[in-house]
Amino acid sequence: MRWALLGFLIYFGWALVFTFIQLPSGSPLLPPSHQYPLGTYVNGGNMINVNARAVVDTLLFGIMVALIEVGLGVSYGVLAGSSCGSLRSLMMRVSDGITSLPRVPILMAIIILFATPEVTFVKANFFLTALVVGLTGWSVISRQVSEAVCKGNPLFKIPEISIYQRLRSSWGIGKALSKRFFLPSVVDGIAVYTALGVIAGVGDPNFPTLTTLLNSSRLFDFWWLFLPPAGFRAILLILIFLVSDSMVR
Amino acid sequence: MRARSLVIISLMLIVAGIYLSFLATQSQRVSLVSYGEGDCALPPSDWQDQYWAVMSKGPPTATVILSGSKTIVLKQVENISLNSSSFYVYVIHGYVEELAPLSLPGILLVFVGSAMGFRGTVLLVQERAIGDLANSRGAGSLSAYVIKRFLSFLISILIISIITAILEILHGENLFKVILELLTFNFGLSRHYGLSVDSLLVSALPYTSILSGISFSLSIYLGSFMAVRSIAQEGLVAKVVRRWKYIGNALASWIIALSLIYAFHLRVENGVNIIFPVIALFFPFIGTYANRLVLPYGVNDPLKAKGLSKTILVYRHMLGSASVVALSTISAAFVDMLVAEFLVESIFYWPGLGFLLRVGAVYGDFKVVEGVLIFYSTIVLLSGLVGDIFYGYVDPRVRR
Repeated sequence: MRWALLGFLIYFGWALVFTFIQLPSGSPLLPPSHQYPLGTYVNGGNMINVNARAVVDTLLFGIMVALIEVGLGVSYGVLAGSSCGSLRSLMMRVSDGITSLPRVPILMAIIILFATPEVTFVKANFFLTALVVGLTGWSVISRQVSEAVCKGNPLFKIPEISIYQRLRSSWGIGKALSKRFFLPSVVDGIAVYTALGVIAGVGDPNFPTLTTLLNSSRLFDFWWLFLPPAGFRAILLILIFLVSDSMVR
Repeated sequence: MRARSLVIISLMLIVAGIYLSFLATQSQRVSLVSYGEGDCALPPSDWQDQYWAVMSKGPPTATVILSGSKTIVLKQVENISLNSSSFYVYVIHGYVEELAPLSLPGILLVFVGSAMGFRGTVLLVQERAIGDLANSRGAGSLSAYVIKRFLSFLISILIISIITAILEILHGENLFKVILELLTFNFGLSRHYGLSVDSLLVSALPYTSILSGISFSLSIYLGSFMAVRSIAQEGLVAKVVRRWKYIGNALASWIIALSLIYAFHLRVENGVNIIFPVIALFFPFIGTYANRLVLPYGVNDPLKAKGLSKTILVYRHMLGSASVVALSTISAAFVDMLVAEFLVESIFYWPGLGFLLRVGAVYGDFKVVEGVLIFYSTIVLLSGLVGDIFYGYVDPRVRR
């Protein structure tokens, strides 16, 4: 736990520092050199700054999605689990129905309601996109929370206990599970945004993420536009997984 | 014997599914002709409903011949106003995938075949190690299980229909028209292509079907082999499979796809050999399937305490329990792979549903996007239903 968390904090600290401390920029698309260790971007920006900002934006997106997914999933799961009877069965049928739906096409259909198609990409507000991604990803969490709540609370076998008292007594289980689901939901948010970015170029130019960088690298044949963002993305996801796994253990 | 039959039938179904999908991709050049007299030249009435190979060969072109002499070449198929009343012949040329609807049974056969192959491979290994002890027993009722699965399927179809209807209404469509479209599976005309959305979907499906057919079956077979090996004996394979969650995310399909483009300097706009999308898709998913099967299981202490042999513990209890869980999640795995396929298709410009979704999104063609949504959802849910019923039939433990 300690090593994974330390690694994550160092990584995030680096990204945060180079998001705000601007290194010298140069001509567009310069290859890596002593002066520009990761080269320069299409606008001449130092690729260290560009990648660092993208890491922060990627993480920010994941955190926003996780807050919505976990909030909704745990609330719905606790509510269903507290009833622990036919109401739970009905609620879980709906939740399972949502889980079985293909998420990416649904999200694309929703996003083009508020996005601006630009022929090569789809410009969609960063925060609204996070909101809709979060609103479509809570059902898996709700199923697991509902099972844990229903099985984990012995009071539910007593019919005299009201739903309000059941909800109150289940809150602790829900709260504990929230911590467990948070980091996997961050990864989920990042992965879904990646899918939307890669399939249809969904992104917000004001909040470039690692996917934005990888997508734009397809327009040029320069390895330093592709390899560092791919590496930073891999490191970010692995570190989140490691921290998450250590927390579960 | 039962396991061997399962594997053989599975391979036959997969080959049949891939062959049907391959047949469905075949297109031939077609000319549609209409003629008449008047001051407006009209294209043949049913041209929008043909399965034009738009994604793979480009949109159809049109020519109007006036009074048998003057020829007008049109940029797109549309009604043409003529200066005076004349006799005209309207000709539309293009490539049509006449067998495109075969891809639907093709993709379902591949899915059922792969699901069967997964169970068959595990059972084959179990039978060789422990004989008849590999057979599973359970008390759940098959009819109750089928009804339950069918109800879930109906609920999911209902939810997706409601979502699509709401989105269409938000785009300004009439409620009754939307309901009629959903009931008749007719999604109207694409704004970008001017063609029937249904024909676009059906002509794109063969490419998705053939790619997923090859990749899914390869991943399932190799994945179950790796999983069985990891469970049966510790070693490098087991270590890699257990850590695949990290590797699979770092080396996702789309990262591999982009890497292949860089490594081989591929010009994807001009078309690409199927081998590249297949590599990008199946490679990460071998580990993903194996990881799903292996990760949740270890030998539990009460069984150890009973003094059972290692062979029985591994092949009956660990592999038996793991396969039941994996069976019930294989539909979800198929969905994951189809999502990854959308990414790979759009990177390689592979003319399937994923690429169609991309075109629909970047041109703001909501009819196409919503058509892909409902069409793709139906395929996924239908595949899931067929897979679940099959597993309920072959393994009674799944019915609980």
